[in-house]
Amino acid sequence: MNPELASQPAGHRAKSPAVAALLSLMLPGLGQIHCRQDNKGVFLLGMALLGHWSTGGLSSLFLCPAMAADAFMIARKLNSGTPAARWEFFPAIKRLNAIPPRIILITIVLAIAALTVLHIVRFASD
Amino acid sequence: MGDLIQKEEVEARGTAETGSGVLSNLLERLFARSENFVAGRYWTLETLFLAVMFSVLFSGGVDDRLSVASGNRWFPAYYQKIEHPLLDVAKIYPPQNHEAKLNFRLTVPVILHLLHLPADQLWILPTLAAGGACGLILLSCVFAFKVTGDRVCGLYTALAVASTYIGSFAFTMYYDTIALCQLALAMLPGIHWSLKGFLVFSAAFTDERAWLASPILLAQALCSPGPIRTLRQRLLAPDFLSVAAGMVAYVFGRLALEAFAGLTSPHAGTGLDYIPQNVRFWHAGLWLALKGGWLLFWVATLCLWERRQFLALAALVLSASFSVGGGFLVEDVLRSTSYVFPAFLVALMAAGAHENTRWMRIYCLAAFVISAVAGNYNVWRSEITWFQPAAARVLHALLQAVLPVSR
Repeated sequence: MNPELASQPAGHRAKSPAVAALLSLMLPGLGQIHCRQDNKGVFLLGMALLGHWSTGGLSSLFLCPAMAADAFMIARKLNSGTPAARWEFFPAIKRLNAIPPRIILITIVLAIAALTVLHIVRFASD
Repeated sequence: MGDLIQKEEVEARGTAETGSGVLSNLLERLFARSENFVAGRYWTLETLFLAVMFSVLFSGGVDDRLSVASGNRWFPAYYQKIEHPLLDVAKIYPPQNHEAKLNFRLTVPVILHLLHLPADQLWILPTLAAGGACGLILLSCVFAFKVTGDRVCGLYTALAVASTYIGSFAFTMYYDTIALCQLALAMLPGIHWSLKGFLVFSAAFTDERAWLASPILLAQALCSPGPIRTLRQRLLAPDFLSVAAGMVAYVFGRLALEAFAGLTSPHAGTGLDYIPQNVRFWHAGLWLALKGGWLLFWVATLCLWERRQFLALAALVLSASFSVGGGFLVEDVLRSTSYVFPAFLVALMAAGAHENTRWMRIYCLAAFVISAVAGNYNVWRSEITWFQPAAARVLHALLQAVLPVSR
């Protein structure tokens, strides 16, 4: 088995895209863990919690819907029988899918950092 | 060679032992998923991230301690020692104060002093201590991987350490994680003997309790599987001698500092007088030091007994008892008994040399689950306090929002 792939093992039930999306909408990363993208899910979960705390909830405004969409696409891809890479993002959107995962991860970290600064500035001005 | 054959036999036995029950199937699925998690190139960093996240969410109020540590409540003597490492703080602060005991905790102040880091930056020490906790989790993971050859064991070990007092960022106000990191680094298989001795020496100068824990490294040299067989060969091995030399060098270094730099050793807050007070909490002080790690310690003692390595067994038990016993001589009980941590690593090594990979995974997983379920507490003076996990706090806030009656 290729360790870089998070395919659906034989004998396992199909992943519901709606459930995956709902889980990630509640807490980014949960839907990805549901789709067996454990590493990506743990990273997103950590960043979502850290971001929610440090940005006063601002980061959740973009992270929750984006990751819900991502989990939905990953679940659909797995159900179609095609394995997904462990760090793959947005398989249904070719342009986003073509971006190396590490760039997307760095973008998420930078976005949370920028929102944290914004939150601190706003907090200080109040 | 004998060890290798024995290990291969054990591996074969373990493969044959794989059952087909519900629990066995569950374990297989969990192991398969864990294997997938640690299959990547940066698996140690991914494991560290997961373990730190687990620690923050479930091991205790990390945010509380970080805010306390980064505020003005960090003891000012720490910063005075950075500015003047040879300042005798025992003459400035009353002997029963924590600050008076910092005279010989010199490693970190000397390094920061040499780097000319500004002593008025309050964030430096909490950040270093938190970094030490991360380093401890990472080193535990690497150590477990090196002695078992299995990444999944490394993952479970890191999670087990993150679930105990030492991995829960409880030391954010002290140098303890840094001292334990130095000891853990000295214990890594394959590390050069000269570096090992230096790390033991410098760890003792980071915190005196590391010196009390150093005999466990001597036990490691006696327990280590390898071609050396006789006692004489083990006692004359560079690993054993370097640890002993590091310990002796610390004693001479301390005496020299007392004689030539005028530093004094305050003994208030430590000593046999504290035993009657602390003995009431012997169960908590002992259990919470390693929690699930004691399971591995017990397995290791059984393995050593089975292999008839009685001297190694006695060395491990006595050195661990020495370290734990030392913890009951001070008022900060759990912070001191936690220095028995190197015994957990030695236990991993001793058990890993005897048991097959499957059983090592089960032991490490059990250690993690027991540590996580047991909750985190601190034992200090005459009280035991619970570290409320962040997840419990969030749940409490949610319940309060949903059920106004509970306010």
